[in-house]
Amino acid sequence: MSVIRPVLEGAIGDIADTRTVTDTLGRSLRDLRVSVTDRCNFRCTYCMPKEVFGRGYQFLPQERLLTFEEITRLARIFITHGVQKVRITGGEPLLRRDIERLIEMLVALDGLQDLSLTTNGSLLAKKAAGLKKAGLRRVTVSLDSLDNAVFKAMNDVDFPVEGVLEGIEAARAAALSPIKINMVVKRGVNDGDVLPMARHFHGTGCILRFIEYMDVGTTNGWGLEDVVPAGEIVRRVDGELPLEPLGPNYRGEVARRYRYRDGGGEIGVIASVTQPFCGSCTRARLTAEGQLYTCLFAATGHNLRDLLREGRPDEEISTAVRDIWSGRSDRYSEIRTSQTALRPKVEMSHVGG
Amino acid sequence: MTYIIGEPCIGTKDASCVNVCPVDCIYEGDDQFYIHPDECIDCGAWEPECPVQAIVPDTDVPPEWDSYIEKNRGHFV
Repeated sequence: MSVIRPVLEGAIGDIADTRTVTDTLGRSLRDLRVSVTDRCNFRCTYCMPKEVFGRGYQFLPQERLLTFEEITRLARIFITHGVQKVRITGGEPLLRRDIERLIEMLVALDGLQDLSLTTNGSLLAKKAAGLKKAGLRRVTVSLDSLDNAVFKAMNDVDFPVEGVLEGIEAARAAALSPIKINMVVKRGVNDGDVLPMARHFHGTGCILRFIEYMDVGTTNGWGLEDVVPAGEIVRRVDGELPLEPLGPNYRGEVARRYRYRDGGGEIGVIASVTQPFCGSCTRARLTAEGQLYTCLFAATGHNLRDLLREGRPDEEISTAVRDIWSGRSDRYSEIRTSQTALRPKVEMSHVGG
Repeated sequence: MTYIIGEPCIGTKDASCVNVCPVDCIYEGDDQFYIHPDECIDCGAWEPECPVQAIVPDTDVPPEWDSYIEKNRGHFV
């Protein structure tokens, strides 16, 4: 083995023992969510409402997005600080051209244990096989209703639910498993779909996860009355399809897991409003233009792109990441009130949910 | 949504739009590019990329580009 290595490689080797970074509340850094575009072809009312993200909205130009090389370099540095799982998000990540190439680059990273992607499913029928071939392990598909009228009203671009179901089928055929289905439940809008969704995915191997409606971003007009508490969701499902609780797969898992007593598989509830999990949150979030956020509900991020583009060495970027994480004290969901809901917060289309 | 690529593309053919299209629905013609109306998913990724603002929705074509509506349509029949 040669002792002469490129400077950047050497730098990473030197910082590999810094894996134990923890924040002011003792939380480790284990997950990195990477948004690869701020664009989406849906206009879901709770995320990118048309009134805000209309025809005149200025999305980021290509040169402001992190390149795949920049994302991979950052991911490698994050792994040295303990990141084990990377999730690709957006916007809609399948709208980033050649996303398959990024997947190839990320799966090649030493130390990465899990790589997944969250998608609205609209392009999955076309892309599932290619994603699998590139090395993606699994996908999470957002789907808020099986009722075409409700689904179209929620995505607000007239996209039919069959298109997403075809995408899920393609993901299954490509063995992108386990497939998780994320359903945001908003009272009076789609809470009538809780049981139909549970019935539909029961016995399919897909893990359906119900997400309490949250006050993400600044545009969705959230109120506590819109939230269907996870406990209520579980009771509703359990009333027809009996459930029993499961333990977490790992510390910090956001979903509370249940399995059907009849062996029909598993569901989860993500109760960030009624049962916040800030205390075990190990997630960092990187926007498409390289801003690092340590909370989904933060107002500001930390600019890593400038460090990359100023030609700073890995050690310096690594130190910046460590300092940002060590200084982290956010726990928004534990202090949420109707007043905090009005605070300025990063848009979900930037930070990737 | 159907998009029309108009006059500014001729002689330009910068192809930045092709380079960002996630679904490869922008096709090269002799003198300009064309967007396939059925393959396009309306993501608008080309918006900040086209250096000559040659792409418009077919509902919003300036009168001087009228002939391009037929020209774009004709490319895919």
